[in-house]
Amino acid sequence: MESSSRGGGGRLSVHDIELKNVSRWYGEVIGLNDVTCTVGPGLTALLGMNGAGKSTLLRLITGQLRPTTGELLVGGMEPFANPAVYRLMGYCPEIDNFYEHYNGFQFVNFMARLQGFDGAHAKRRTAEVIEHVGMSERAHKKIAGYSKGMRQRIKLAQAMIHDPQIILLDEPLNGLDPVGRREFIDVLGDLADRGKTILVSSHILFEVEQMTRSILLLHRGRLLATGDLREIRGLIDKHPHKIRVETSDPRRLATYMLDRANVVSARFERSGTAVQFEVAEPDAFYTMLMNVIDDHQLLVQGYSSPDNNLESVFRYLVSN
Amino acid sequence: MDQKLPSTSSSASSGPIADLTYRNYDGPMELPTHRWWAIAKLCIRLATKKRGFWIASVISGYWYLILAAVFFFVDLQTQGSPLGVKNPIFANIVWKDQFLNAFSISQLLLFICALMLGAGAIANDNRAKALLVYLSKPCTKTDYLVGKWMSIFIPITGVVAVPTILFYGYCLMSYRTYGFWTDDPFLLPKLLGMILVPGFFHASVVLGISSLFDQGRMAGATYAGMYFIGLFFTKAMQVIHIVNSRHDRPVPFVDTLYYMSVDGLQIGFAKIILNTQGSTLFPIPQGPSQAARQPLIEIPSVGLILSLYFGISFLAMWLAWSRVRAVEVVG
Amino acid sequence: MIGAIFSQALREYLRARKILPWLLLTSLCYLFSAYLGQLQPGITAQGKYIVSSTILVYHIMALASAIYTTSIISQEVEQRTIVYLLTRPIPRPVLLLTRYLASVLVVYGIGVFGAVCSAAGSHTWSLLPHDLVAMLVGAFAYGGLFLAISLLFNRSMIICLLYAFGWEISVPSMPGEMYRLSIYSYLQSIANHPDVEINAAIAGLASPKSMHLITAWICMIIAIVGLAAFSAYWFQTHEFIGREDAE
Repeated sequence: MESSSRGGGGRLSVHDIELKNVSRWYGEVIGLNDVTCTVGPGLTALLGMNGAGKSTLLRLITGQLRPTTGELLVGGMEPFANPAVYRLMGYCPEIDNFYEHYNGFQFVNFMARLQGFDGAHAKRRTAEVIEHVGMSERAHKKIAGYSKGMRQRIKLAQAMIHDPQIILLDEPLNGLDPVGRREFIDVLGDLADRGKTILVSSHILFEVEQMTRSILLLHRGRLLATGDLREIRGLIDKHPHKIRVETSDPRRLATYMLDRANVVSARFERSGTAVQFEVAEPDAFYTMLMNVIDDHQLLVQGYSSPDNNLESVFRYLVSN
Repeated sequence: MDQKLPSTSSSASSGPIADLTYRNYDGPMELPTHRWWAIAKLCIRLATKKRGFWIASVISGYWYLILAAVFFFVDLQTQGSPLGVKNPIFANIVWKDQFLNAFSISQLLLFICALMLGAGAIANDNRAKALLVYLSKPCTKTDYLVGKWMSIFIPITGVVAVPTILFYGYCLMSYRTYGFWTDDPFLLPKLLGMILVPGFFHASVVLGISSLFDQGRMAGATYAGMYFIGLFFTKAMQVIHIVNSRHDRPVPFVDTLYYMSVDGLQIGFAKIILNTQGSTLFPIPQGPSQAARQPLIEIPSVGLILSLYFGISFLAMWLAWSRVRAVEVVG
Repeated sequence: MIGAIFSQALREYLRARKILPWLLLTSLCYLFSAYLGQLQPGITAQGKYIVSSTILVYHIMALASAIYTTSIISQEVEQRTIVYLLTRPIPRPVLLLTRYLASVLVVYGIGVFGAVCSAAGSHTWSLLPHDLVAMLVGAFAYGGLFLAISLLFNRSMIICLLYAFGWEISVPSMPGEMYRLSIYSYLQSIANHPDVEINAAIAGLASPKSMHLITAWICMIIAIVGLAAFSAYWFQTHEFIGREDAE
């Protein structure tokens, strides 16, 4: 599969991540299988079930692993053990491990020093970024005593310390409370709006849906889909779209709609106030629905598309 | 019209239709006494999958193999002797000392086995916060610790026992005429006692040390440090013993200090059990000056060795007991 | 950047819980050399110092090196914190060699402390300068070897310990030229202790065979440079991913 995923919808940037037929084997086990894609500015979600290859992909992009075959470029450079790439990139790993005897400030400051900041500048920058992730009050406590959410914030802080163009986050929302998640998503949104290339891996579809509609979907090491969620949904012909219409007379509405060619089925809800259609071409269906409502003076309270969401897309693609 | 009934969720079991997609275990529950064995079995399985453990185990018995080969060829060379004439080499052998020698020589490898089996036994659980899982089951701290202790004790005892018993069987069948049985009819029970010495000590100490850390590597390094520093010290005592013997000015305290190491305590205990100070493979009658060159150290004081051996073991076990807690501290 | 790596590594190695046991241990060399006369009547002051430094201090240093050097990378891999170091704009060889230097410094410090304790206990200081030089070489050489082993093998510490105490104790006393395969033999040649009676006794355990001083220096320098270069190359070209593994 070769396509590009662009949350920001910008031009091809030198900061793009490019994978061409990348595979990675662990002995006889394949971690990533012939993946081709590019990731540009904006927020892109890397989706997949546990073991789908998300972490392998991120480790390849961050140059911790080398592809077995294929070509991988970050900002036009091969990332493996390449310091130039790490100047462009910030990485928030999934692991929960730190130098536990450090406090949050010391840890982030050390990361700043490794990034090349001099002493005074590192401290200043550390204070800024720690404030940005909402950890100022607790930054001088030992990491060993941090909760999961505090650890996630510190990990994000170290990834953002050098204001990188590319930010990679591996399951960053794990352990955050709902308020923390919202704040975290807002921070990522701000960064994406500033033109950063952000790749976030997750297996929790609901969270991803709140962040972006631009996805890379991995399953068993293969890239199943890449691009805008709605576009991907539109391309899945095997599963007709579900459209739920709330009306006081669902059976009458169904009678008018079912003789149309692109309506596959109708299902009534027990409440008697809604009907769910399965349709082949949703855009044409909406036009027809408006005409039917006008022609027959039906009272419609609203309509929605229950399977035009990430979970359905994911389920359809994975079940193929 | 395709009208579907709402599908039942796999997790919902409160409806009229029974959800058969998942069943809880409804077989017989093991008796509480077996829970430690479940833990021990799991750890033993993990340990025995390590290639290094098998290599160290097999090599630890190499001295018995050398002895068997030497005895076999010495026996072969003298088979042409007239009937009734005994092989002079076998006639002078002190049989139980051969077991003591093999036991002493295997110490380093038994220590390595103990490191592989036990360094991460509790430390890895501390790191993975697995204690929370273990102790949230109907499994007590005693079950956990006994299980872990047994998972070190059983393999090490097995590693010592197999070559010892095999060699005993070989000697019993081949060298009864040279006094193997008559020299010490109670050798077998003594050997069975000796076999338990390394497993008990290593299991207790390594478990105690492992409970102090959350990295197996650090626990292993600490035990290794204790082991090798003790070993250097006993080597130094051995040097001093040799020099003092040359000048015929024995200092008994040096002989006692020789046992102040992990190996030393176990060898001392084995000497007490076998009631021998040991000898070389083929002791040749010699004068006083030559005898002085043999670094043979006297049997240690029973009270001292036993109190140190069991004192250290129980202290380490207490340490493990006090450190194992199913608590995750978040400040 | 290098300063940050160095100081972080040094801080890590000098944490009280790590360094105090070593200082405590090496301080026992003072008691050992001070009271050696009670155990071995007639031993000279130099003899006391030589027994203490040759049998205890050099081997404690090898042990410290095995533990500190294997932690340069193995500990980071095991703690899984290696990812934070390897995703920074630092050339991997620089990262490795800087941390190696920090560990060498700490190991050397432990050796020096032990040697000073031995000298203080035996009331002889004349042999100390030679040992300080030999121990510096030893800290680099053991460190280089154990660093290479730690990069090559997963359970490197057991291998390093076996080398430090199996190989280093038995090989120097082997017949013929085998002693040349032991770092300890070279260090003893560089330390160049005078012949005293105790040396003959040590010969049964780990004999410092005669080797020309220049030969010892050249061999050690080649070994140190070669091992450090190999380690840097290996670290640059191979993958190091955090893993949870028992030693």
